[in-house]
Amino acid sequence: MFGLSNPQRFMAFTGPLTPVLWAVAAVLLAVGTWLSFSVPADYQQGDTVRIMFVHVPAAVWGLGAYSALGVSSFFALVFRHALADAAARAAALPGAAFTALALFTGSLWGQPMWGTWWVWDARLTSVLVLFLFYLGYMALRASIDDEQKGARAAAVLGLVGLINLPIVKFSVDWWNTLHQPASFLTPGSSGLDPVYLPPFLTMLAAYGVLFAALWLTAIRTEIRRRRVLTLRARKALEA
Amino acid sequence: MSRPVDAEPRPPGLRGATRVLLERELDLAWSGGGGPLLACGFFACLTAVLPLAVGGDPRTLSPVAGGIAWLALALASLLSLERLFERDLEDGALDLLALGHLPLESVVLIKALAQWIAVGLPLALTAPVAALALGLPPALVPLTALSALIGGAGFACTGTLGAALALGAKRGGLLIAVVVLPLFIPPVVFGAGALERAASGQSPAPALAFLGAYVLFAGVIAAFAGAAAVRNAQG
Amino acid sequence: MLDLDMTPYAAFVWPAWGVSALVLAALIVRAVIASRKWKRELERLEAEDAPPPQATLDAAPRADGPQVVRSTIGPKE
Repeated sequence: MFGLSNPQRFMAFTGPLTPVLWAVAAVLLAVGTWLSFSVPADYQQGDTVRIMFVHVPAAVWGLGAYSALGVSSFFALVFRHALADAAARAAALPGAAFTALALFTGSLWGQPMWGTWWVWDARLTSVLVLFLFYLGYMALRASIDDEQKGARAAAVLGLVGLINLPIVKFSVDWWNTLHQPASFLTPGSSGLDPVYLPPFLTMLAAYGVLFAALWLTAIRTEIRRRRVLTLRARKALEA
Repeated sequence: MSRPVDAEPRPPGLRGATRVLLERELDLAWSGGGGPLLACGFFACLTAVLPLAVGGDPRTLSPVAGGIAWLALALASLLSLERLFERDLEDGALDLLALGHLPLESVVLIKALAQWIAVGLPLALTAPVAALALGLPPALVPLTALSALIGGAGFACTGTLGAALALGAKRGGLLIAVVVLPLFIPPVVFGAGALERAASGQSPAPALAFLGAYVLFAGVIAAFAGAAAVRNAQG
Repeated sequence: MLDLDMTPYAAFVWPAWGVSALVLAALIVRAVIASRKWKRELERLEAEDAPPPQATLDAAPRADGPQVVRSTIGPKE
């Protein structure tokens, strides 16, 4: 783990790993898509059950990406390590995109199931809040001119967000019991028919590996970008 | 009021330093730019605009009166945050504070405390009036004030943290809102929930307990994270 | 076999999958473009850094490789 904190060793180690991840992600996505459309439609939900195969993985890895961001922020803060900061930065955009996808597909799933595009149920609301956390993180990072200061301020916020996320989740759940919504079918929780496990798990894995590939690639890009900036600064000094 | 500055016989101890800083912060909050008056005015404006936007029918307004009061409270708590640390960073006071007797964590907490007293307290007094105007049952007025008072401490802590994070940012005020509002969700939920439970005849105690727990938690987080953010902005 | 008849939910299933595919594709394209850009830039700078006579030959771009762009602010050896 800590051996990899050296950027050069990290580059050497992840260099061959990244193409493998991309390839695995492509295969899993293809197989998952095929499986998703070859299982029979649900007797209750009909074909909308197929939305689940893109909705739930996006939500799960949107949260997973935020955990990656928060843990990286922690390492960036405690060990003041540039690589950890690059990792936190690199996780933000894919994570925010996954979360936005979860919201969008969730609302497309909700419309035929609940008869409305949006329901303020605890799960959807929590995902929305997660998206807001991403927005805050990216906004903070973007609006501080000094890159290093922006990075550390963003790291503090990322860590605070990670600590706050369970509390927000708890408060939203509590709020949900308070309002006692009509008992509608909550997608994903109502005992998944085993028929749907293969496509679901494959897509879950596919999104996970895809996130890993995107993340690693972005970290490698960030390391190279910083190296370029250093070289440029050195040249400017020499000139 | 007119404390002789040059006649300070010995450096104040920790308690003295705390008191001096708190007094200074309160002084700044009250005097500079109308502080609490501005927040209360904003709060009143929000409450006045809302019925005009959704219609003044008491049947639509009164069920949401408590919730609206809480939302307006959260928004009004954001107002004076922008200058909280920036002012001190610009004139160098922050560097002095960092070098002083008090650890930076306490400085952040004291600033949050001053923010609570200067803004949260007047807002907590305004909140019942606004909620009454929106049609909240009068029996809930004490609870509104109490929950707004506790919740105001949570807003002050989290808001102070947001202000510290946004140090050195362009358009700090807007940024603070985007960073801080998602973190305001638990106090808003618990605070408005307390009113809602009370309105439906249940005990508001669990909601108030959650609210209190959140305030303690937010205080700890704000102290450490806020101090880290301030050090970062200075370094 | 594949079941592609989504009636009556075609209007929900296909946009969900389509937008997911679009967004994921955009993420991938963006990541790859950024990766290439900075990799190229780094290689160029490191090639310039290397001692001029022999190294320029070694680090000369392949025929199909990207053109070396002269920096406008860099030193003219």
